[in-house]
Amino acid sequence: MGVNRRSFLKGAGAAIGAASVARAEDENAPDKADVLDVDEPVEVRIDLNNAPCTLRVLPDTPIAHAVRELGLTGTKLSCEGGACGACTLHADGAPRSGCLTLAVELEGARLTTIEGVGSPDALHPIQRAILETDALQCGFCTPGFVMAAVAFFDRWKAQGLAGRPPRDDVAQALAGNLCRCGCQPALLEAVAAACAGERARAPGGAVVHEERALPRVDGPEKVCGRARYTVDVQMPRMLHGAFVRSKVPHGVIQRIDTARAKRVPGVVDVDLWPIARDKGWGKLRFVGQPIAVVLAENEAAARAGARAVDIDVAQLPFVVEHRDALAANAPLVWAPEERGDVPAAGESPKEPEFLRRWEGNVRRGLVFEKEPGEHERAVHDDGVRVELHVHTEVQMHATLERHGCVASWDGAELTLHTGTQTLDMVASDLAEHLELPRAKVRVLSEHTGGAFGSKAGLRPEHVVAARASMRWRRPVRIIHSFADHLLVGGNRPGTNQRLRVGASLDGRVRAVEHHSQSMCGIAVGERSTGLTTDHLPRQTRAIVDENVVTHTAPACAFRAPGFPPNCFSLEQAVDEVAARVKRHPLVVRLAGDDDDVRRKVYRVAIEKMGPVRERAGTGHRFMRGTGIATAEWWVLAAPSCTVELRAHRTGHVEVSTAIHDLGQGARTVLLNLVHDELGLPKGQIHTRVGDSRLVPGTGAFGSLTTPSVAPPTLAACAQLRALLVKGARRMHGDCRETPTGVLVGRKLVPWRELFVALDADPVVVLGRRGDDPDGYKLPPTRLGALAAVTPVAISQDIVASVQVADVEVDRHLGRVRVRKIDVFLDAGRIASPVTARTQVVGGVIQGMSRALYEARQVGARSGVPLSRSFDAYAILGVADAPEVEVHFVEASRTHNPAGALGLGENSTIATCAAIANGVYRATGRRVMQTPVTPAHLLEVLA
Amino acid sequence: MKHLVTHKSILEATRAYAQAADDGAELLAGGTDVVDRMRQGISSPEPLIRILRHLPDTIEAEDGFIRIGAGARLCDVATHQTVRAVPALEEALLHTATPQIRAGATIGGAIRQRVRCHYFRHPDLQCLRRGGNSCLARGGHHESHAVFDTEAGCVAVHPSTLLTAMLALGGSLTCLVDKETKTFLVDDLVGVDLRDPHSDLALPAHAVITRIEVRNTPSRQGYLRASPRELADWAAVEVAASLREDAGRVVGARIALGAVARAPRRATAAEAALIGKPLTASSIVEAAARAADGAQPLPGTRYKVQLVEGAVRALLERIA
Repeated sequence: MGVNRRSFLKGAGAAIGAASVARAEDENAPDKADVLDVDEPVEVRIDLNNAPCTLRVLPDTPIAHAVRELGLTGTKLSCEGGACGACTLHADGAPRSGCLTLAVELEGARLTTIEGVGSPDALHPIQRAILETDALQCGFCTPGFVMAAVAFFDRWKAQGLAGRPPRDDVAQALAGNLCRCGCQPALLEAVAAACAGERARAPGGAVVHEERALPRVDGPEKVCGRARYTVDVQMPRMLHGAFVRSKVPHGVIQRIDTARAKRVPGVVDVDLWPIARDKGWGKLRFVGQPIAVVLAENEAAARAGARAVDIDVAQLPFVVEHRDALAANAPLVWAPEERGDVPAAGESPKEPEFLRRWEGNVRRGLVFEKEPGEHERAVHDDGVRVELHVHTEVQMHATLERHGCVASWDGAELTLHTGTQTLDMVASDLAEHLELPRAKVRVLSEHTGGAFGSKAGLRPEHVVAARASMRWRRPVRIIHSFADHLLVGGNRPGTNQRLRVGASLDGRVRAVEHHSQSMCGIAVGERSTGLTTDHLPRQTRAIVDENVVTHTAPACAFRAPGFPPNCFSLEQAVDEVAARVKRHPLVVRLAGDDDDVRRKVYRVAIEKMGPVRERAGTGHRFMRGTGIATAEWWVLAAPSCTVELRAHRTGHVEVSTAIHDLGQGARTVLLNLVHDELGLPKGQIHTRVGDSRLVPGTGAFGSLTTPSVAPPTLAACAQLRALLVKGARRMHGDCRETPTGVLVGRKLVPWRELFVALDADPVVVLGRRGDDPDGYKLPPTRLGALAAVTPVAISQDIVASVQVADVEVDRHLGRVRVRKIDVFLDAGRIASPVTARTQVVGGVIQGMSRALYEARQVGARSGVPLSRSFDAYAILGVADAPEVEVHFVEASRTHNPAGALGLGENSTIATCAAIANGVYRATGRRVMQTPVTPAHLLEVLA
Repeated sequence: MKHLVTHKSILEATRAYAQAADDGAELLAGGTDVVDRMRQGISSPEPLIRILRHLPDTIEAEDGFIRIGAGARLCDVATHQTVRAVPALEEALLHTATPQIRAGATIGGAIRQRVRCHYFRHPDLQCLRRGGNSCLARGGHHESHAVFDTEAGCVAVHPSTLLTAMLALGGSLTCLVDKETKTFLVDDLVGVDLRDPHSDLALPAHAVITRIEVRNTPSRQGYLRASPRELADWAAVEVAASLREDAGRVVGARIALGAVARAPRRATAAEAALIGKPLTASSIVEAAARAADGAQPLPGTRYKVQLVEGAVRALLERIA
């Protein structure tokens, strides 16, 4: 221990110089305690990754912060509460939570971080196995998982054990780590295989285009902790920002006094932009609403400054719960004259004000009656009538990487690092705010630690950081605290739904009446009846879709907005019809449906799935059943998407476009397509995405990346091939083009050997996507909230899916255990089979997490959200993960030339309904809410 | 925290703690709870007294008991050869928290950790324990809270799984109270003062736990946790049991319930129902049906009545 430690003689209070800490206990010694002042750095000597190291830290600094300060940013900070495991490192061989372990307590310890485990050239067996199974997506949790797994691996080896460790042992070892993308099944496989010294198996299921299976392009840097996320960006002279947020659900600011905050040592400025930009200045509508940002020399000072901003608020009555919002005399979240300012919750177009109908806190959206009045008769007709009332809780995106950004200004141009799924929109909107030309703003999003819809569009921190960096000529970093991240980092609305279905005696659904209310916080725009409309196109329908506003944080798009809650009600109702008429649930669905895509997928599922298990184990503790649910999603595309190829005479090609790899594998898709089209070794293809300076790409939402980017990639490759043919003719004279190269006489010269003949170095070609040849359901439009910059079209394709859940219900412990989920889904031509399958598994895991665990809690009396940590907001853990088998079905007509469809949303929609139907088939009882907690399940079973 | 203090001896640390505990001093051992509370803005200990270096961390079996130093890490205890003979303790520890937390957290801290109530752990809310006038969970979200002894005061449940196992096995804590070494039986410790929201155990507030002791005489025993998630989750209900048999009949029964009240508690009616009977499917069902006797559920904890019965039944069936 170091030089700044002071020793005191108790009572005397006089420093008498440093002394080493006595470990021996001596009762007779005077009480000479060693006192460390929290503001004075101390030195801690450790062995760090096999090298001696002296840390200089404050006494209350956690070790994870200390090693990150040294530039070892592979140790991630996410929840900072010991629940997520992202900061796992080893102290004397044991895995520890880096966020809860004070650095001073590690004096003399042997410390290993992810940087000390392996490198892309010398991977640890665990890292290699994680790549082989593709057990990663966004990669933010990956270093923590590697560290937990390596500790287990070392113990396994030290005990001399051979073969595959039992699943339960691996699950125990990984239980302290959370993955939001849903890689748990593959992680379990990876660790078991690595321990056994086997080659790990890629995610199960029928393998399409096996020869193209390869680990993801950015996998090696992610498993080694080298992938750089926004939170890892460190710059010299950086200022740090911390938000001041509303602590009340409803009120009006009377006074803001920043004097005390500005006196906090290290505080540079307080920016009131977040509240000042609002119309109706000073109105607070939810806990967490941004008010101001304190800028300081370091993060601790910024947070201290934020606490010192004095704000007087006149509190107003509020509503945070659905039923309170509907009460006759409920306080209004938006007064009639304010309703033009209501933020948009989803991806749906924000319709003109005159189309909106408000009644109190209810905003009525789509009202659709196919044949007015007809449904009443139809749902009451003879035959089968089903009525369900369901409730789904608010789900939070809870990405492991928190929202935030780092802005820097070089006097002429602004650079913004931020995890985003809409580079172009952030760059354009920010340029407008700063009154800069669009070309002077560059947005970088190399890696993003989970997004799922929450990291779309311009956010207050972007503007504040950019403004401050221009004003102070210093880089500005604003990363939310985890509690703030959960407050404003996005949520999926909860719903209350009433669904009535009338069916004929053969199970054919004839009429449906659906009334759904989505709780969007202060926002509007969620639509939770879309699946009902799409699934039952010919039936007599009466649909009322409403949003209920409350004094809680605005909802935003979340993977397949509106569809999973809709699926939970609709697919349980259809399942109920099938059960009543005693027919196979998918046969019932086929009977009323003439869509080719859905029919093909359902047929394949019927063929491949096992028998429907019902009421197995009745009367015993464990009951088992098979639940089935179906889903579909639109195929969206951005026709303006382009892809650039930069080809060198050495045969190296750089493929680039302003798209986003959020973990879904966009880089790998690009690389595989170029590899296939040009026959180049993968090592010679370099991909660049996540930079707004690149040629225009598309935002990453609505499963549109692959359908948007695959056609222009093929187009660019075709252009390049034409140039290669030209070069070949210059070099070889007459020759003939084939798919794999040119024929010179009878000799095939592959494309890769023709790059030397390019007439420039590099040659640059630009592939354009253009429109689908047969047109669209909805032509390219800028109407949607997220499509404000890039026009998005709705293609004539749809994608359909079936999920089959093997569910076990524990009657004693009120627990649902999902043993296996089979996914049958249509995804067109798969560009990257391994990452595609991984993404589907992730959708299923997220769906299951929502079905069984996730619920945001808000204190009804305080209006304060309680879910401010992973302790207070449970998501699925490794041990809960089922086996997931993915069956790709090529069913769609595919109206784009690349045959590419998206699968991100489609894979997550049906899971909750499949599980609910599984509970029904196991127990004969229906669960009517998500999450299916022990409390709800026991109530249903009682 | 303003100061992090290291004393020369445990006696001095204990004395300093006793003097300053009322003014906010706290002990730092594994730190997995106190550091979390500090960083979440819930607690601001002053001073924070480092105690780990003074605490014994040995694990030894003697005279029918296992003695474990309060400074032993949970992971080391859970995997220790000696503890294999006490499956209720072993299983309880392996269900506690996560591997990362178990590698840091100590035996003493596992008993002394503060409640996990989300109202208590919110920096902007003032619950009974943090100077407020009423228990916020009582009228709010309390699905993870008490189902026994709910008539007044705080309704958060004791978070210690270790203590639940100790109550089933029979055991004691050895503490330093001022200069005195004192021993407290677990059965006495769980009689908390319900009127005092700060009372988590019937233990002098300034006591420093130095050792625990649990009986390791052979018995039919085990631990079971009912939680929404399989692992790394706080218990909705947990149960530990230790049954002694003679000539095929149960002659001694200790069934401890955790996560149901301000402190772990014995299911005495269920225990009584087993005494003198062979452990059969029907005696288990009868005993389990009595496990929640005396429950006073809150609106949100009614399911725990069923869950207590189910968990006791599942555990007894497993160890029968």
